[in-house]
Amino acid sequence: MRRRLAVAAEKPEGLLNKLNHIIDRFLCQALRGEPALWEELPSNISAVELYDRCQHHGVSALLYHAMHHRPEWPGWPRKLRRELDEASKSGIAQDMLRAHHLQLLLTSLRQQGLRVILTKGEALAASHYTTPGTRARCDSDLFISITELMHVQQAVLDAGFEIHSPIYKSHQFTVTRMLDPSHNVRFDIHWRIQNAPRFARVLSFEEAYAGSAELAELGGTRGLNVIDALLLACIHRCGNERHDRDRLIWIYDIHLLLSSLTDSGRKDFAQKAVNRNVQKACWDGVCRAITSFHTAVPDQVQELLRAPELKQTWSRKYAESNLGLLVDDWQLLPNRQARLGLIRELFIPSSDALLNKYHKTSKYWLPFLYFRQILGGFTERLLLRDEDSEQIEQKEDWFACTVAETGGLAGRLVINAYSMIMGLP
Amino acid sequence: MNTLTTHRIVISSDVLSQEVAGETVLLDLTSEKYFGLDHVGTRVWQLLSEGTPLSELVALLLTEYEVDEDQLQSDVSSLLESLQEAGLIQLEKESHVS
Repeated sequence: MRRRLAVAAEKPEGLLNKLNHIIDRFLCQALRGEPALWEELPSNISAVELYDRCQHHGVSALLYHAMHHRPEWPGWPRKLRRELDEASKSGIAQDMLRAHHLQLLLTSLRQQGLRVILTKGEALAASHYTTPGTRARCDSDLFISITELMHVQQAVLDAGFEIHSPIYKSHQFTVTRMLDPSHNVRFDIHWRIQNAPRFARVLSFEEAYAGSAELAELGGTRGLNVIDALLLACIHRCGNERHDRDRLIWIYDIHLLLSSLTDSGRKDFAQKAVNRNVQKACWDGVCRAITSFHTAVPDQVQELLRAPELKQTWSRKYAESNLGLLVDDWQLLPNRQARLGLIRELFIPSSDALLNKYHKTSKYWLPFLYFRQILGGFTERLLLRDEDSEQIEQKEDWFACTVAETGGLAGRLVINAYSMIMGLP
Repeated sequence: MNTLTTHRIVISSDVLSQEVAGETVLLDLTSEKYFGLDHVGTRVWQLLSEGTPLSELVALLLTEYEVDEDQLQSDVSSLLESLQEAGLIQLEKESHVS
């Protein structure tokens, strides 16, 4: 959907970091509503670099809406203004498209009496952003009860969506509706508040649902209350390895949530963070919001969040590990079919899925890949580690690549011997 | 003038619109393409959404904008043609117009 302005000229890394820092400060200044004169930027910063940084931070549409009516806007480069305008329109269009399909999905869930809470960007866009389309997001997150998992899957299929594997092993599954060959709308359906084991038990579905509020903007669909949404916004950025944790859109979420609370609400948030032993992640998020957007946070709240976290005990370490979560999921999964599904995904996925996962085309690799999968299942997932599935899979990819690259002749010989025995072509 | 006033505009049921800061984004669910309307285009879209007949639409716009009538007719015709080409509206001939 996007076209690039042009390609930014390459600069040495040190200089690039320094320039990025200046751009980030400039973006925050503009988003805070303070004068943001283009002439204030060093002359070696181009429109392309600023646009790329906006995209990196997910704030292109937000910036356009913050700036386009301001007196300094005409002084910004014309091409940049056009690109930001385009990003805004694209964001609004995507928002309408996603909202349309989300309603189909929610209606199907509602018709079957299933409980669901909208979380993260989708809910915040509706509840805290004047124009929901300015809250950039590539998917929508729904939080469900694991006990209703099989019914949710059926409702999703009934609504015409496609379910993608894996379903069980990552405490979430992805559903999409293919729109055209180039893109689709994507919804992530979670039964843990966060995929990272360290934060997965911070808020249970039952507790979140009991405290949830109706989102009038989304036809009465439920969203987390502000304190829980803030807690999630803080832990999400610390538990997410895919993106830069200092993405401005995430910090802006924290800023908006904190600003919408009263002093007593902010204190309740800090107290809840301490009670759940996630004050470090919350303090980090709050600090970033204060630095970037000058968010008002009372001293008492800051003091609470600075309290040291509890030391790790064995029982806590177990509870916050993959093993602990998998055992829990195993017990909570509603039937034998789901439990078998979990085992299959962990240890014996389909050959196509395995080849695809390790980017291999030849079936010769399968014995090694299955061996790796089974070994990996035991060692990586079942040890008391707190990495999420994505981090584990990155390591598995690394292992497979290392085997492929260093196995060399010995590897080929073993493969050839295996294929001769098995009669493979 | 006749082309406009002798037709009724029907907005396609597959079109979603959202107005933001005086501008409008239109999304065609069938083609998944989106279109932007400026301030004047937004006003035209508002009037079309309210079911304003074309004959009244031009008259209304003439009271709201300082513009020559011929120029307005031409601009509105051109906008409606673009919207029609994009499948966002349909022009239906009104049978009772002489």
